[in-house]
Amino acid sequence: MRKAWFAPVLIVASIILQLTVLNGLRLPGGGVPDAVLVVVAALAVADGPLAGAIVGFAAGLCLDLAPPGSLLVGQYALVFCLAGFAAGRLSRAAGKSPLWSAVFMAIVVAAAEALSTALGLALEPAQVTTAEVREVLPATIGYDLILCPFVLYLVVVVGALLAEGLSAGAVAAGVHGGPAPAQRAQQRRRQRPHEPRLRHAAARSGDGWLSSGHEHYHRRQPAARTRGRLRPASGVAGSASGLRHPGSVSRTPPSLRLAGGRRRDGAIGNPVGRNTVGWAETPRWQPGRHPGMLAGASRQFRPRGSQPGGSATRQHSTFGVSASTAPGRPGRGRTPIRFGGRRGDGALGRAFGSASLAPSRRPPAAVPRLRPGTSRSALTIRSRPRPVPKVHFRTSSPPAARRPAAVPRFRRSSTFRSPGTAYGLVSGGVLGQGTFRTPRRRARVPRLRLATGRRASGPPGGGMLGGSGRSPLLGPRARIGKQPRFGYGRRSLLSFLVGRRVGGRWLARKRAGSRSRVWLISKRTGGAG
Amino acid sequence: MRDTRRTRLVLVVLLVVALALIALDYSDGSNSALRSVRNAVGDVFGGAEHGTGTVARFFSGGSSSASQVKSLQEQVVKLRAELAGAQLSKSDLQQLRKLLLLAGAAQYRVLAASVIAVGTGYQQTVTVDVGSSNGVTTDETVLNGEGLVGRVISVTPSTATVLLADSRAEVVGAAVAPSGQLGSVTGPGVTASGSGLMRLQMLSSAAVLKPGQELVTSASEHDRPFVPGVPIGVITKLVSVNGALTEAAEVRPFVDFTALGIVGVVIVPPKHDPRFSALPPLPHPGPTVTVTVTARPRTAAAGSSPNPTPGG
Repeated sequence: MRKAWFAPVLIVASIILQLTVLNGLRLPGGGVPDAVLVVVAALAVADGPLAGAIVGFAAGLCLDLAPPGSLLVGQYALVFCLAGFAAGRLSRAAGKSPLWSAVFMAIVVAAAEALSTALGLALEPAQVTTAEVREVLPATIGYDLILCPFVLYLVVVVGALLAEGLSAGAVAAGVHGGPAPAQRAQQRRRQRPHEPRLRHAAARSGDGWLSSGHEHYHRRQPAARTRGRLRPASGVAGSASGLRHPGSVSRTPPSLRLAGGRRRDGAIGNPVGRNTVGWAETPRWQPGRHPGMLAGASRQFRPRGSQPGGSATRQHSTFGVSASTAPGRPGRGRTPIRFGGRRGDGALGRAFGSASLAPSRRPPAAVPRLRPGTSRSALTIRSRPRPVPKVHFRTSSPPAARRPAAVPRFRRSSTFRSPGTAYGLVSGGVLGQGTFRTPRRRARVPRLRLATGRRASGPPGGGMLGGSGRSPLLGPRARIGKQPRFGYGRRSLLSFLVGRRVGGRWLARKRAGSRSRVWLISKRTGGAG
Repeated sequence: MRDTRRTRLVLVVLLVVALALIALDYSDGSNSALRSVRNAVGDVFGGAEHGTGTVARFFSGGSSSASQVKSLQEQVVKLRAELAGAQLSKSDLQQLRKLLLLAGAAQYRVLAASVIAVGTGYQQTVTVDVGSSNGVTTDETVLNGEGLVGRVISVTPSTATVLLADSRAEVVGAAVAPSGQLGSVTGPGVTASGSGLMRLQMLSSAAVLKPGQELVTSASEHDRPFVPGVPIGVITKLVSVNGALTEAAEVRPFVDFTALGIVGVVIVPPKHDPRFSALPPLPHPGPTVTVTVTARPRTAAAGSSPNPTPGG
């Protein structure tokens, strides 16, 4: 982001320049350029409608109050506020094209000049007459338009330079390990065509021409999030990594933990008993949605609560691994639980063979731990002992850096923070798909939308931590490319005029048909932010 | 998210505030809260406007590492600034001298000030760098060495805003030079050329105007807003309006309103009406007449001898 003082300083400087120098000029045609208006419009183009309206109001009020001032306080505030809003809005409608945003800015400036004159005519009929207006207004607008591109360029370039300096300093200080400024600039240049936004709010590393990165803020976020995710949830009992949460370890041993087999590790998977217990009835664990089905559990996968252990994920690792190396058969009744990675080779595979536990032995305390939230830990296990791929994802930066808008939603709906981990989880497959399908979708929409056109830069197949996990991922990934197109419908002039994202939703429905729900979610999250 | 509900809410709030301000100022121009805000902002911006010119003079290039070079460069900059200041004050001095001559002729006590800012848009106002702390109050006459500039319409502690006499909203009572007939002068407003002609409308139908007559301000009540005797301009053309009872004329102002530098605020009006004493001396068409007179005999001599060669 540009430094906060940039806009106020620019406004004050332009006001003083206007009052001391420009107004005293005698230019052919009679008018003088209104530098303040042009600066307001340029800042609005760069910052968006909200900031534009605020900046315009402030600048107009200053111009009203600064001596000699206007006859009525507030008339410039009114006009400039409207102009700032309109410039920000229209520049968004202009989308990624600098040329169009400059054109829209010029239109706004001309309209604002006319509006200001009209306001003068209405409010100060003694001072402003139509004869004067006819004589002076065209020249004034002409000078404004001449000034427009230069001021826009100044605002954009200086803002970017300031931001560049800022982030460069941060990198030097090691605050975050982003790419070097030069590299980033190159990245930005390369990705310019994909950059839809001119507002600084959109500024991420690797952004378009107005980028004035929020890097500080955005980059640090995912790191913090990732760390938080790894902390308590990972390595609960049963984790292959042996990473245990001290608190849960003590409670886990009696409970065996079974789960649908993951493809690679094959740890799990198979039917475990017949009777159902409360947790097993939750729709999330229905086999149909279970990615772990791949592991050969097939339709048999019915976690039975009466059986010891419902899911492999709950198996205490040391216990489970040492229990047996022979694949067991699917548990029937009270028979030992059957484990067995069918296809896979995982460390956990074939473990837990004959660990048999009477249902009565299972502590009731284990039940809550069987909830999908807990089982997630087993997935984390997969990624935990291999920090490398995760680091890899993160350094590929775009996924991490581009998700700021979705932060609150992530927090609310799921704890998956990093796409890399999410993929790993999916592929791990222990989880019921239902556990995170919805959250992941939610999380995905903003992320993907921001990732437009950036796929190529990412690591190929990034995030496929768990190996297989293809089926849940592939569909979404195919959509990745499309979704932004829905999202940017808002930028269309039509939707601007209507005031809603008509075009976007219409497009979404048209292309994705039944997936309008996804779209609605993404709309709620305001993915464009 | 960025421009949806919140943005519109903010926009509407700001617009309502702006309209409220306009309404407040429109209905009650002397609102104390608004005035104090104006004063505060005027102080800040007035200071900045005042400082801009000063700072601009000290603009210099880059610096060098060696301290000696640096100090020398500083000296150069300083000397240059002094030179610029001296040159600037030379032109200022010229204006100031003329102002003092005019003020002396008409017995005004003036407070010299310089114009530091110019109004935006259709506001024909300027800001001068004296204010209430210097004893300036509203409705005081402002003039420069050429003639009438305007009147003070608002004052902050350090600045004063002057409504120019060429504003369309300004009506100045005027007296025509030799006869003392009264009329009113209205400004041309903003024009493309920057300096338009004022309009003189006589009060009496008996008044007779001629091009070339000069105007001064006539006496106002308690000498406010205009002290008497300040030169306004010269009549350039008579305007005949069908059905008008009184005569009208176009007046070219003495003052160039687009190039104001040093002005004076009349803080003490003259004890006696100076009448026309402050007017510049009338130009007489004498010299051309004498030239033609001296030229005639030569042509006559040349005509008397149409054939110089045989005659000479």
